[in-house]
Amino acid sequence: MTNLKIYFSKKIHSKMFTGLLLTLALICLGKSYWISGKAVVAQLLIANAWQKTLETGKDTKPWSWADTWPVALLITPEGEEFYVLNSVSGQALAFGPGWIAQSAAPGQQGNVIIAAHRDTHFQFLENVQSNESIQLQDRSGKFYRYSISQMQVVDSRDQTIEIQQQTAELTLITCYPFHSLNPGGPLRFVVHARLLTDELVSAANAY
Amino acid sequence: MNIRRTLAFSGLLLLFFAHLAKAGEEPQAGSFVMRNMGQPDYHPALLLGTEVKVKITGPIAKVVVRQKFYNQSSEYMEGKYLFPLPPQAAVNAMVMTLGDRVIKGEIHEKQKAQEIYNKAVQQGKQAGLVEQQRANLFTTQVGNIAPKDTIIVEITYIETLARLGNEFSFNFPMTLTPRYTPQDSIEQLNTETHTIMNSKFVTQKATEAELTNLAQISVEIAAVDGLKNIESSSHKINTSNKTGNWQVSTQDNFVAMNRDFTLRWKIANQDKNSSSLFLEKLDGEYFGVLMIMPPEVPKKDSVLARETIFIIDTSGSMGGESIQQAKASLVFAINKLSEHQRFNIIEFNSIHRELFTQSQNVSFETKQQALDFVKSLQADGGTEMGPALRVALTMPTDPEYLRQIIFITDGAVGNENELFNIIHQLLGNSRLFTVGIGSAPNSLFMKKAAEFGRGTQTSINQLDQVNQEMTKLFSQLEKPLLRDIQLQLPESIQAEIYPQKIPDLYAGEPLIVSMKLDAIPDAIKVVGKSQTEWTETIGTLDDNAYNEQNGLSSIWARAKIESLTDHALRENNMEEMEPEITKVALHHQLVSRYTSFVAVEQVIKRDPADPLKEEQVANVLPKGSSMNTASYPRTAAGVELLRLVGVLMLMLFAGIKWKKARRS
Repeated sequence: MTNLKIYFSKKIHSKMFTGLLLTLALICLGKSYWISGKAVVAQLLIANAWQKTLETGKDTKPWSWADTWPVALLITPEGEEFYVLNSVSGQALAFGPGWIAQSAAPGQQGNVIIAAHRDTHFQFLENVQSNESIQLQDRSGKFYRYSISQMQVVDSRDQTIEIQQQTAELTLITCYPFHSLNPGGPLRFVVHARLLTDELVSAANAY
Repeated sequence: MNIRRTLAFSGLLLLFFAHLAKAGEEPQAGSFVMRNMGQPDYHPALLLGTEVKVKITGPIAKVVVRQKFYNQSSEYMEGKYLFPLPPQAAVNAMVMTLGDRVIKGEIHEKQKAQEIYNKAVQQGKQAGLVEQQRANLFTTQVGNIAPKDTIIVEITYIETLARLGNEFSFNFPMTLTPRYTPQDSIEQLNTETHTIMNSKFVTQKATEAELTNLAQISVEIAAVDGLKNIESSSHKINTSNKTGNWQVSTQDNFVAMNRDFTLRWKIANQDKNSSSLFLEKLDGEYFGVLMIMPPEVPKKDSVLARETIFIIDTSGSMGGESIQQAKASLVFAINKLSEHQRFNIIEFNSIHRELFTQSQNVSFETKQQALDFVKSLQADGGTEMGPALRVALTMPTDPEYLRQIIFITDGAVGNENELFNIIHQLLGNSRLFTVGIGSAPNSLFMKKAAEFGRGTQTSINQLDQVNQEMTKLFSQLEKPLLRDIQLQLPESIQAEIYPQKIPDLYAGEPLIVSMKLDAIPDAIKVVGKSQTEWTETIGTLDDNAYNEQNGLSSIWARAKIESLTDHALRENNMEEMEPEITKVALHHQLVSRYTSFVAVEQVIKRDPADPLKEEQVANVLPKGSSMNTASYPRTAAGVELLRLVGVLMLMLFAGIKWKKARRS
């Protein structure tokens, strides 16, 4: 009898445990795919807003309650496209790479600084090479081609981002190491790219 | 038993992974992954020297800036230089000097000027081009500078000086604004986002005040009664007084262009402060600048009764430091409110919320309620500025009270024009003051909203500036002396006056109004409202007194262009305004966003087959701020951790199930 009781309670406990385990596992996985999914789907919505921005020249919110809007299009060396948003707040970075508002606008003198999550939009930075080219389209539709000149790991605890107004440059920032399990780590991976002279490529030959 | 073992094992596994991840991070801090080497040290081929000559007569400054481009290389060079001028500068002349040849620049539409310049440079002719890039940013471009040779470009501008009480000040900007706010880009509105630096120019790293890029500055101030205390807070100066006029120069013959040059001086305190009129006769028309002086030192009872409405932006973009600055400003303001005043607070994000349905008299209780209200504010949600602004502007009001709306925001909005329209339509007798918050507020919005609202703008970038800046704003708000100011001229006279809406007059701060008249009136009457009606009559001299060409027509034309631009900004029809602005600029020979000066020497200097190198002249970094910086954002969403934990738990689940299945 007692054996039976123990057997039953054990069975119930183990059932509860495995059930809980499964639920938690699904929640974790679900959340991770939700984050990735949101990052992808938001970009699709932002694509429309960017089209409108190019046509009208006005800031266009991707959805009516959005607190952010696209300010540039970024094309990776592999040809992947990301719409860059006007802010690096946590909210904005969930939807797309963010442009640091004190930095320069695309193509202008000074550095254009763009940051994104290492595990969503800026995953590609893990594999970029020196001299590969990254393109930016500004709101007037012009394309600017930048060539990667330097990559660097910095510690955000004792360094800040340099904003300069002298050289036309692109600075891309994401977290480092790329596959770290700690999302709040202090290290950042910084990619510097120089604006290529005479490379004001038109929309036509950009692809 | 089994479960416990599995649990312990999986816990260990998790710890191990977490540890592994941590260990992987540490040693790489600050290390370079890769670096491009082999770039030789770079020496500039072009050197630039700047000579600034200023002539000050009354409230008008005429400034001649000579930029000498020296080519120290052995090849032909084309140079480009980006430089700031005061925002209200009317650039009305350009001259290019090549040895003893002097070529006067011609004003053309921007596009055409570029074509003329490019063609000349291609043909091997020496040429110069002066363009406006933004309201206060200009570029000079010079082509075909021969080896070891110099080309001088001389630019002249006119401006009215700032005056506070009996003190005048002059400012010559020498380096680019340290904080560059990209939101300014909308200032260019329809104009195809013109990249300031054409990408063909090799850009140079700015140097820290080295021997390149030096300036020589000299100022002459025309004799005025009781002129004294000529001081500069930026540079050490020498002053001398020969021939009645004051000569000012910097003690160092050459100064580094790493900070602005400022000069202040005082004139005699007049017993009776009266407004003054300056006129210039040009082609049968008269151009004038009228300086309206505050009537007298305000007595307590001449201060108007006021109603203050604060609007505070609590949208998501104000999060963090910004909302703290905004709240601190508001607390400061509430504590400063005095009795016999009324006030109210409106907060807005996606929706808006008022402290009181109607403005309340200032009392201990209402102040306390206000402070509690401020304490509860949190930054979250969207930025629906329009409705809040509308509510503030249309709240029931008592005509005895001057309504002052203080708008605290970072201006992160995409619909400026709509907001300008609301202000324009509903302003009535209210006044709107903007307080820009954060390190990069939308400065165009701040400036224009305040202008359309006939108030002033204040900006607060750091918490420790709150007291100082808000005190300044409050001393202004406390003493509005005159409102509804109008100029009255005889009906027979055709007049065009800018700004069209004359702002209020505050104690100690004179107003400057520019006008074009078709004849000289006997007198100009200024009418305004304080507690009672106020008028002042300014007499004029006869025709011959105004023959001297002192650039007042340029100041008027500049004010007209500004007014047209503002109008276009409000109505969002820059394209429609372009021909009008171009017309004014061409007629008055002014550099504008649509017009540039170009000068071409017809002699061919360089064989077009010979190469031409381009270089941009470096700007010196502003003193003190070697570089601007921002802190790194958080750039990981935590996907991997979630996924790993998820997979581990799933594996554990499968393991248990599998074991159970095997057992049974």
